[in-house]
Amino acid sequence: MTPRSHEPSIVGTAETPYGRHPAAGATTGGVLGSAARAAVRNAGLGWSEVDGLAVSSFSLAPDHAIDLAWRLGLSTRWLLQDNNGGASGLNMLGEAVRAVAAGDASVVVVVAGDVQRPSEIAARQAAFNRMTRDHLAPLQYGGPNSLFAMLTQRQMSAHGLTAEHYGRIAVSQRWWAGHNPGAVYREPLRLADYLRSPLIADPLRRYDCVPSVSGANAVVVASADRIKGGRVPVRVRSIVRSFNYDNQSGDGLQTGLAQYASKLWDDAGVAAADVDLAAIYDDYPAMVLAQSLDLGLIPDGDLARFATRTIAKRALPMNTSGGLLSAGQAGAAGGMHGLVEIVRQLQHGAGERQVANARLAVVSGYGMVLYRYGAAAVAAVLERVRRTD
Amino acid sequence: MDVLTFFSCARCTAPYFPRPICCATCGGARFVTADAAAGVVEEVTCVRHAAGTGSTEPNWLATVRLAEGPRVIARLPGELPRDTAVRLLLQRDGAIVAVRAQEKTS
Repeated sequence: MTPRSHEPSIVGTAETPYGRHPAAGATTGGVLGSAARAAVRNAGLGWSEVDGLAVSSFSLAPDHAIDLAWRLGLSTRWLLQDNNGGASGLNMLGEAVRAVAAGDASVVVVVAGDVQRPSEIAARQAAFNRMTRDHLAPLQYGGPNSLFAMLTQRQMSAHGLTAEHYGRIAVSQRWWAGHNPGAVYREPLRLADYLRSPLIADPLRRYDCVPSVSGANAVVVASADRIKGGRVPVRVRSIVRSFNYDNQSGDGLQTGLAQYASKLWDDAGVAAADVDLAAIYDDYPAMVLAQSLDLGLIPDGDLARFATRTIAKRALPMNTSGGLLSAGQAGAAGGMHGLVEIVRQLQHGAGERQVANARLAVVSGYGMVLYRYGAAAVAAVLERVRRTD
Repeated sequence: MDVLTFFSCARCTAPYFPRPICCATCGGARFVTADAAAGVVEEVTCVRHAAGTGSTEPNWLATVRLAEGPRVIARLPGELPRDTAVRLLLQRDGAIVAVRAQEKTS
């Protein structure tokens, strides 16, 4: 059993300013360091107290986690590098929480991010893995847009969805982004604008595709005895992870979260209906619906209604930062963006977009397209801790 | 251009593309190759804007289900309707290309 003094919680967050075009001289190590330092400051802790580091980045190479530790001047007793893309942030969170509970570290910085220019993104997409390099890049497939275009068609057919349903998600997230000074796209988006926007890969339109940005996100996981006064800790009530759940043999409309959703809620001791808000990984609107269904957030299975009522009318506040679709996807930071937003909401520090009395939330991460769709999925239930001291 | 090949587990016959290291069904590690010439078009998309490359040439791609079961992503010569029967070819650069089943190819 975890000693009370080792009880882990998230006590600090940071997100560097996202930019569509990286600032001159910006480096991946630089933005990762900025986010890490800001998160530790946000937690009220000192840099010398950090004894664990986890990092995910597509553009850190040829450096590794330990090179980053060196450059950051951090001597740690716990170190992790994760390369699970959109699932890496929550995967690292899960490892960090267990490390702190076990006493292997007491103050862990979890950081992810990238500085990326369009030509670098295209080069990375072309060599994402062996299968992509050998059989997708020669098609000039244009990155994952084409694959998720076909997945979206399958979802439309299976659930009777139209472009308008996906548009409602993009429009709703843009509304939230209008209240987030950190989002790269904040001007209001109307459904008509969405429907008139150019096709990128049929049926995906411009507003279905995430804008790539440069930046980094970080959180600090610390043991109870290290929490500074006045901070609101956020506890990870449960976390589940799934990797390569179907060997790419399905249609991609179900993620690995479906396998473990009941465990997620059982371990948390709450039900899907209990959450006050959600951050569901939104590389494409279709995946918001797929993961929400897998997680049990759509008990009647009516995806159309969930988009037009639950999301669009904000019955369940969803991706309240604007999500990756409006705030931007900073490479591997995309897997931590929703986590940082949820922690800020649960700490009641989300400013104009604060969800009143937010206490319980679910956050997911999804990614690593092996060939036709993503193969890594993670979800966590987070809770605002009521301080008794 | 060669005919596309798929890989069948020597122990349990489960079909794969690409060749795996271990069979997900039985754990076997030996595979036999066979032509995967025939398939059926499922979803079709047209890539109209390829991020980062500046390319705006329409590029028709499809999910094609092989007769043996596995699905591949293939380039089409142009728009083809769902359920079109196609033949699958493998270019030297690794691109999988689908052509209407009745069309002759050089």
